[in-house]
Amino acid sequence: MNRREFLKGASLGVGAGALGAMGLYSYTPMRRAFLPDIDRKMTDFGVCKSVKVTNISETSWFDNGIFMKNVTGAGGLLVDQYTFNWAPFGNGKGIGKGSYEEGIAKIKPYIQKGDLHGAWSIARENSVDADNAGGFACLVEIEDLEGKVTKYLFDCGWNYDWMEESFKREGIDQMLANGEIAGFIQTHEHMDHYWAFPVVAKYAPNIPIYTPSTFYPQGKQYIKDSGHVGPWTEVKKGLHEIQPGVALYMFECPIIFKVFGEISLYCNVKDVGLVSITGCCHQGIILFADTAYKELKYEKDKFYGLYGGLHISPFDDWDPKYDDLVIGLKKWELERVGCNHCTGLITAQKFVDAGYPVVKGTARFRSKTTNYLGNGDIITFPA
Amino acid sequence: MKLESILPRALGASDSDCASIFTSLIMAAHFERTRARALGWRGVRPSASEHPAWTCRVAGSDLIFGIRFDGEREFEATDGTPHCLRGWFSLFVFPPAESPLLDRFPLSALHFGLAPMYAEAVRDFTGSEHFFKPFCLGQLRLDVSFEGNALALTLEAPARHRVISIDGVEIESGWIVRPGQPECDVPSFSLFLRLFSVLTATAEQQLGEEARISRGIHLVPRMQFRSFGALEECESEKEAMLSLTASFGPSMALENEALHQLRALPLRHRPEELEQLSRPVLHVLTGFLGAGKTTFLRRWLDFLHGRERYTGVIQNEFGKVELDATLMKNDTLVEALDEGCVCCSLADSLRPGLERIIAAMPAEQFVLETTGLANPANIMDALDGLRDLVVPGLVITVADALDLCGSMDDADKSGARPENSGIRHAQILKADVIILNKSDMVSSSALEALSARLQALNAKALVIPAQYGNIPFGELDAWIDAHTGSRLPSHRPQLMSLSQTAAAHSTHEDEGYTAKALTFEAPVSVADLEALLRDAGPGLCRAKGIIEIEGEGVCVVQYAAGQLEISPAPEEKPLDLVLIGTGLKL
Repeated sequence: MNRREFLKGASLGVGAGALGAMGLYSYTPMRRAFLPDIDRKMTDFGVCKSVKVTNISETSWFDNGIFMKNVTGAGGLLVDQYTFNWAPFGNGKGIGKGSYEEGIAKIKPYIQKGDLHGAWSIARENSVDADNAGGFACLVEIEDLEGKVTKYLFDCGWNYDWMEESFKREGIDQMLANGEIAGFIQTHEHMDHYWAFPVVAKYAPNIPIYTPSTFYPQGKQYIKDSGHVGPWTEVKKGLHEIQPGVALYMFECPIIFKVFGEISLYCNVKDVGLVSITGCCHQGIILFADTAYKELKYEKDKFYGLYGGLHISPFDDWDPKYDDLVIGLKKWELERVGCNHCTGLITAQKFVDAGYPVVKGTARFRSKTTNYLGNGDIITFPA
Repeated sequence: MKLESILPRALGASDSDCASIFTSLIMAAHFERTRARALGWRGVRPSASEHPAWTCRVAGSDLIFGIRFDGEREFEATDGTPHCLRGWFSLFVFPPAESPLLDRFPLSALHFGLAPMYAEAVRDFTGSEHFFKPFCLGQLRLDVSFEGNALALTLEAPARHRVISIDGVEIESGWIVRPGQPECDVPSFSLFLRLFSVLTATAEQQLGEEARISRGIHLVPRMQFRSFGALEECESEKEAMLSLTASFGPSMALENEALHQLRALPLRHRPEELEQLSRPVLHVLTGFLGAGKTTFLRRWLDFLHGRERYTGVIQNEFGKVELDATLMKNDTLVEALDEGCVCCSLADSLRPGLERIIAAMPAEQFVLETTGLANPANIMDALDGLRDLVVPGLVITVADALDLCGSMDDADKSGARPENSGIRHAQILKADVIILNKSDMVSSSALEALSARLQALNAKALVIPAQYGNIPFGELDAWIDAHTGSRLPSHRPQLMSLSQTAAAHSTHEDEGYTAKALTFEAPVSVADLEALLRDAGPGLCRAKGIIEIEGEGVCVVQYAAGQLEISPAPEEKPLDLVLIGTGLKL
């Protein structure tokens, strides 16, 4: 009898202990552990009572065909976003030949005057397909255990005109101007999440802001050029608590169009579970969920809700049958999902078909499907 | 070299900087799938654990590798070595359960490898570390200077990992391991070489320079054990520990090992022709009228675009209504070809269409969606003349399970099944992939029988059942990867009988298909629409359009395989209703 045949039998009956007694000894010369072996770190970051997310805009661009034409025309996914000649950083030299410095020089006088429509009009003349730009932004309202509500603006979109319009629709401009918004969280440096920052700075130049610590020099300069003068926290890799039950987590990951690092938001809702809010989730939803599981202590050990754009993974899985977001998320048994933005219309449809607890939207204000928590729609956790 | 092209920040910000460098290295390599594959990557999965960890596959090997970050340490500058950081990663290797290689692993590894949950458990190997320890057979080190101007990757593993069982392992029927013989005998170092080469090539690409390769060797004690488990050094034998280092920038040699320079990286992945394309790939999507080509295409595009694999579409419709292009609006860039069928007047319309879309959107791949009446044999012939523009890719045929099963009863009597003649036959015959759509609308036994019939007609094709055009697209990728270039069935020269050759190259004109467009001035009731389709005669195969339905508003109307579907239209503007078939009575 060879060892395989014997062990096949053994795997049915004889346990590993019995094999050990027979003289098995697994010695490996290579394993060297420096960090202590802990199963889960489970940092306690407190609790809040509820979370409400208002989708200001999830439509990053309106026509995918035009966007893809821009990307491939400029040379692909590795090209630096500031060189695309996308608005507002157009220099009039055509696709792939732009620069931050030349672009900002043209619009800075208008930004300084607070004339953002004027700035965008100038940018439109010098950029490619400026009208295709939309943006991603949402308002996150945290209710603490005493019932006090703290508001955060989560990303700010791309197109000045579109974001002004969207802010006004949801009353964000007033909230900013009245100092009702406690902080602004910039998840990552991508144009569709970040380039309308002057709209935020116009209404609230003093607002405390959080960005990944790995912004490129142009992105850092843009904060200043937009007229922001308030406190600025550069969030380093890992956990960053901002109030009881609310924490940012910075993932160090390279992202297409030469961007690095993305912040996600975790909220621990008392007696309910963990609610996670993402911009695009470029780190991949699998890593995102696994990180919460191993790093955080949350109520009922329950992964309760999810809002935002859901990129499945930056990689192809080596086993193709797992290359599916519906399968990837199954084990977390989420109870409330509001998806949109980069999730994919068909993926959202598959969630619905597979019986996921997708909170439907209303497909208004240029959002395309009710399977998305669309522009102007609201989701609350708990329901 | 500049570290900032991998990690754009100074070192020292965390206790896992080397893990950040490693993850940035492999993530950036995966921005573009073709680039990742040309480097030799065949899939990566981050693994859940306290320590950052990954499993992956690389080209040319059926092994699954596990990589686990173990920690890092700072080294102060000394004479000759700069201030630098060293990270350690454990390397695991998991052979497939059926592989004879697994028989040479430690018995406990083989035991676990034969357990039913092995394949699944490997995905999260750090979650059950105890079981996976015997698969840990190598180490990766990452050295990096604080100045950010030097980086080195080192693989270290025993040439042969053997552990001697002094007392042997005995079962009732005899010895499994004889006394004094090795309990395991694994050529560890060589198992990791391909992985290391892919990692090195990845670093070379991102740092924009070639690595200096050197190798080292030192001897470590070979271990032996007694049956009660005590481990001791074997006096008579040593184990040779081999190392391979790929370094960039000034030397940081932290150890005084004798290193020998090598000219080239062993087992470096050489990408196949299709992995290093300068021209885009053009896939051809065929399928009989109403089989669900556009539905399938939209789902495929959603999968591709969600992964930033941008794909342009060239559409050709029979009859002047551009319904498909209307439905796909905003999905991607669509180039609509003139009225008529691409398979009959191909050279005239396809070349300028292709040129336009490639100029507008220089993507890596395009899909030509043909009319339901197009004969792919004719298209493949014509594509050969377009090789200066594109590389012909897959022929994907969407087959309508309902249509092909619908006339089963009649077919049994007459012996003439729909897929055995005409355009349907040619589309099945020339397919690399057959998407068996509407599989939910026929019984499972009928689906099985149909699937077998199609496979009998075209043994090389991949047949995948689909509902609403949904298939596991990852598996389609895997199949494409396994059949690149000349291995695609559609690219293989086929010897056909004379009658087959005639059928394969026939066109829809030979078969008498015509299209009629109807314009409606006023809203139509569903009953009137049904009557109209009925009165068009038995030769009606397909109807489609955007028209105003009484009480429903503007709707998309789709009719195929005897089924009428009415759904809300994406826009208010009506388009004509087009009817396609033979001998239409209109």
